[in-house]
Amino acid sequence: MADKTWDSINRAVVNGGPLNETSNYKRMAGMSTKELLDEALDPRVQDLRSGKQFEDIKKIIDPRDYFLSYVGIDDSKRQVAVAYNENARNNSVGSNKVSADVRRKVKTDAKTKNIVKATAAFIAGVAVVGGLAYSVSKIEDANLVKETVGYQSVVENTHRTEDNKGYWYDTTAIASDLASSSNYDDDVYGAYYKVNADGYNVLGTMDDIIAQSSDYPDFTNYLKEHGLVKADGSIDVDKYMAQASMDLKNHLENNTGERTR
Amino acid sequence: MDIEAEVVTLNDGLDYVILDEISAHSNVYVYLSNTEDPRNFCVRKRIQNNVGSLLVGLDDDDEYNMAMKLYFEKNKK
Repeated sequence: MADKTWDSINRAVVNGGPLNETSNYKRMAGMSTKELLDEALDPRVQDLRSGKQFEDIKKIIDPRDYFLSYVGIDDSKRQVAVAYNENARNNSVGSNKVSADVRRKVKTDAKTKNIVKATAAFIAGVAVVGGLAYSVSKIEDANLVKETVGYQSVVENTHRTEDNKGYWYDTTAIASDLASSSNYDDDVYGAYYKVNADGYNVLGTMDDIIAQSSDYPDFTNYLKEHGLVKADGSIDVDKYMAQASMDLKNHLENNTGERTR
Repeated sequence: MDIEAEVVTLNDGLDYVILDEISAHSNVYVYLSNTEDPRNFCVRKRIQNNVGSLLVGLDDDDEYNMAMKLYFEKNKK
């Protein structure tokens, strides 16, 4: 007899699955996602997937729209499908999302699990096809910045509150790593990238790190020294991200680095 | 025929079935689907610290895109 938890999955699937009865969901559930995508993408978009002619194709077609329309999702449903992906993104990103990994065994049937997996693969397909068009360079940047000592030194799981819901950074340890770095600017960028992604007291944290690892009194002065100030006198964080990302890429490609502290 | 699956309760208090786990870039990514609503899908990283094994959110959108690409590449066949 199926576990109660899985009965609820069955009900959800029977009641329409990820899309309603007028969609192609049932057909999708009977096909592998590879079959579906291969069928969906014409040669121009196949080229896009392999990175060829990226710029030209980007001008011709939005692969996310193409993918969704081909699998039978019309304009109104398309927004829903993209919303599933955005929902998954919101449910996945954030260092405040912490839970104990305590697993329980339940029983289900293979068909139900396959339908749930097909739903997930479909959402992933939307994310990947859309992401290829909009985020290739961002993914590359993210992979590069994660190689920096600065990024790796910012760890939100070193010190957590007893209930695991809160955490604090060891800014002294991070500053120590940066102070001994031979690529200080790249590592400051790496640390900023990670702290900014966590979204917790970004400027305050960076102020502590910069003050302890350089002659600058704080992060704002560090940025001002690098000419990253807007006309109104405020710091230009977007410009900093773009410039630091480009510098990091150049340094990694040419095996060079700068030390400006 | 019945098969076994694993369910875990996440920080939102809801139960999620574990669909897959993929190791990449020194992390283990765990893919989960809400047991009450298959449309509610999410990804976590599994980490080990002094408290025990934890499932934590991803760092940013870029990591999410990368994790989804890993899942899609593995499960598209």
